[in-house]
Amino acid sequence: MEQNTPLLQIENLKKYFAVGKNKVVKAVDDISFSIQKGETLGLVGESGCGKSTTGRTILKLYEPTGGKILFEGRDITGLDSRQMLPYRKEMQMIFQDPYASLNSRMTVADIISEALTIHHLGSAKERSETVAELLHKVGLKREHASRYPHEFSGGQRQRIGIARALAVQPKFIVCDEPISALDVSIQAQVVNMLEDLQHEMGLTYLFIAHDLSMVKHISTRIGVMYLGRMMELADSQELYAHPQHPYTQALLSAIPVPDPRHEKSRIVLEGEVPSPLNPPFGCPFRTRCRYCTEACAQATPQLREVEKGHWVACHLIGGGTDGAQK
Amino acid sequence: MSENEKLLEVKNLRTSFFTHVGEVKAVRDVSFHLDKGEILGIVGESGSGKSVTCMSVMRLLQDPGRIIGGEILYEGEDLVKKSEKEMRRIRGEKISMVFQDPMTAMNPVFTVGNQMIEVIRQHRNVNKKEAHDIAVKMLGLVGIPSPEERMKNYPHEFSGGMRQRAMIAMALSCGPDLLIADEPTTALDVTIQAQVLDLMKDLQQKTGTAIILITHDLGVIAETCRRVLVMYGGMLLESGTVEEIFHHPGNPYTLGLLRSVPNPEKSRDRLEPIPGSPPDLIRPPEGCPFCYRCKYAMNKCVKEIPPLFDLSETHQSRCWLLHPDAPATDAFEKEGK
Repeated sequence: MEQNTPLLQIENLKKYFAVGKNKVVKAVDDISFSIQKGETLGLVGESGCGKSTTGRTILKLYEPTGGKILFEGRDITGLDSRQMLPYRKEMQMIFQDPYASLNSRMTVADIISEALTIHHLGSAKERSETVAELLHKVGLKREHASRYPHEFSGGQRQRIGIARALAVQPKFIVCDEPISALDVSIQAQVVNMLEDLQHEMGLTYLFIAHDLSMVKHISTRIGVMYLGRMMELADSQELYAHPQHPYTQALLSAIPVPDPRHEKSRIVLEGEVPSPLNPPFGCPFRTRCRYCTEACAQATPQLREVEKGHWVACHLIGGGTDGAQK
Repeated sequence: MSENEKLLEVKNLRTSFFTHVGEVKAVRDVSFHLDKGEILGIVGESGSGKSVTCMSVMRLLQDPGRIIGGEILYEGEDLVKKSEKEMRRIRGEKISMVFQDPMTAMNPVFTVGNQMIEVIRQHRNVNKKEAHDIAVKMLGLVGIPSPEERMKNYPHEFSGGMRQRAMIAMALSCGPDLLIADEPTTALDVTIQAQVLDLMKDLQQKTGTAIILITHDLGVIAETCRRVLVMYGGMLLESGTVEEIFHHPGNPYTLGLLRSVPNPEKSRDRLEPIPGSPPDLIRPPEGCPFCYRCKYAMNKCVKEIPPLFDLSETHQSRCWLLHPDAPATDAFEKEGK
């Protein structure tokens, strides 16, 4: 692999779902970004903004409606399921709900080694050795291999889910809300483990979550989505210190800070996210934006680089008017 | 504030679930009080007993669950001794509750207006028209636009945030003195969560309703409450004002919780998780419920349940380290953030 080819490049990705007659939900609408090897890209936004659909479309669990997905520089957009097989080994997923994502009738060993069997990796004996190694890696014991998922707590199940994703030694993992179903004291255990595994195995993550403080903690860069579009993309420190998009500003100000002395300067957004069936024309955020102007209703703002590495999709930023920064 | 009148006083509450596997001691000897008009937070993880405590106060425990000891004094009257008929009058009228999941808490086959009118007519001697007007007024109060029209909608026509607002409107429609909110914003997005929390604080000031807010989110507690109870393994481990709990925690569990969440104001450090997992409540540890996960645990902690030690007039903690004979540790001195 060349030094500067990103591990994953997403170009103008679209995923539309047909709903009833002549109606389309644009779950992911024309988003582009890239993920460098070894980094963690966080994807945040409210429910229905398309962050999970983005993750699933990248793995081609959904067939993209338009755009391109390049993995290590190779276009995988048009591949059928058989052609995708070698790539499946490179790209894995960790799911949100550790109760629903493990087959309750399979033992832990079966769950973890299923992918190994599918990809014909190793003999039966080697596989059981791999399972034991993986269990050790995620902080479980060898004896756990013969047990069933119901015998484990939520945090332990999520560890099993992670071991399953790691079994085929992937390069890239989509973590779709991996900690939101877990208790506070267990969340930190899993996040630390994901970080350790990343350093150890050189993994690259797409980390999808709505817990913004955890996303900031784990991510190198963060993308903010709203109604299927990318509103802002920047280095995580930069994004939190200098959010530019009015939506990002409101979103960050809404995070409750665990400190009673913290000065609150909350921007409370009016109303709710419009229906994705009938999104506003122009800027999708304009119905709730306090800086909205006429220009916002006329054209959809494109994601532009306003400072090095800091991308924003807003008519008011970097294009003359500076309303949103005030 | 001792001069305030106590609205609710729970004394030595014990609640168990008698399952096939054995007795699950969900709430073990919990005592606390609530003043009129205050917002009290209860924080804890799943299985800590925070929801069961409140379900006991409401007397809404499902079958294998029973209150096996203690008193729940509401304005001086013991709710444990009330008959089901008496409780039915108290629920909704004096104490009402908002649940976590606004999707399942409403009946999908009746309109929102219908359900609100039913509640109001149960408790107040009003006719249909008057009940309708009260419902419209309440929906307006919680910030639902065009409430008159919205009365005719079914729950599925409301978004999650609006449904939670409607639930709050319903809960407050009979003017209760106490509102128990069990994870009211957990199912909502952050921007909507901010709206709902602001609404609750606003209503508390306008109507003087006392609120018990149950949550696992320390941020929500810090921003909303005046006093906090920290529960773990069915027991109350610490209680105090938000200032005391967040800046001078007096219990290793509280400390651990505070350190395991990233502070969005600070830069990227490694998180310090609490090792292990919560105790099995069928066979809870003989001593402190937190002893096997606590890095300061001593022999005594494993054998004997620590009593609540007073740290200040408002601040109590259940930890053997606070005993005068305990060895000096660095646990609390330098750790307050």
